[in-house]
Amino acid sequence: MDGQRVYAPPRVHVEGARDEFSGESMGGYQLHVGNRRDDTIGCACIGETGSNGTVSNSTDAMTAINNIINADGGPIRVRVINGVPRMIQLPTALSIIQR
Amino acid sequence: MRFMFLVFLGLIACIQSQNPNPWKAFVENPSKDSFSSCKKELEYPLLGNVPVESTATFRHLMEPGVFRTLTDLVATGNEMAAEISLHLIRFLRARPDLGEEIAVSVGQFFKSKPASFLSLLETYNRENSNRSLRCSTLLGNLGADFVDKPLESIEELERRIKLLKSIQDTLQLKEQCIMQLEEAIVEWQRMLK
Repeated sequence: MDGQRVYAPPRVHVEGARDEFSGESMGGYQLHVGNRRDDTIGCACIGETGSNGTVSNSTDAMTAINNIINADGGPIRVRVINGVPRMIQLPTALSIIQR
Repeated sequence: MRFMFLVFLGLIACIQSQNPNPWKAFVENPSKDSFSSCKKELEYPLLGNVPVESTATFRHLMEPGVFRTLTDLVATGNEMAAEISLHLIRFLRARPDLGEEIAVSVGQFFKSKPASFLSLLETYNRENSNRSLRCSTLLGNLGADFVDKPLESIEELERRIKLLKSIQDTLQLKEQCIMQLEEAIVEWQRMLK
């Protein structure tokens, strides 16, 4: 979409996400890099390890997800456990299901 | 009756589609008039629970170059762009990807005009008490350049705290902001261990 910056590693757009409180469809829900809750308003930050609402090694984790998508050819199905989260720690909270 | 309602909705959509784009006018010439037009469009009462992506404001913002130029204006210290952007964060709640870009640009705005930032945020939160913005949502998101960089992030947060301490008024909000950024530093320090 025009107007949005290009990020490296690329963000992953998730279709079908809904706000867990209002139920409103969230057309802009993405998986992207970030370490703390302040790094997101409603998207999910991806990381490898973390505690107390933080994740680290986010760039490596995001690259790993992009590698899976690129190898598969996409689109992939993302299963998120425990609602729509803002901080995702791989591999326990997120399963990427390849076709 | 249902037919009449659909005709009415169609008429509204038709009127909206024919409206000139106030956001484009604003980013091309950030005047008080174009700012007022944007604010007016943003305050236009929505009919029912309309998805944000169906609104005229969203379509206008997504026209080529408009959103990017708006966030650039905010980042380079345009106060009207910063003010309208605070409203946009909540308006774009279903588009958090865009809201996050605005938040990062408001953080840049703060660095050039810290007192103005606090004044705008205080006014916004006073007038929108049911959907107020947390200071660290705007100042704690340092952007993609700081991801996985605890030391650089701590230094940047300390610079922002120093700027906050230099402000002479809006004392209560200032203290809240400082406290929230200090909490952010503690989180980063925990990640270093």
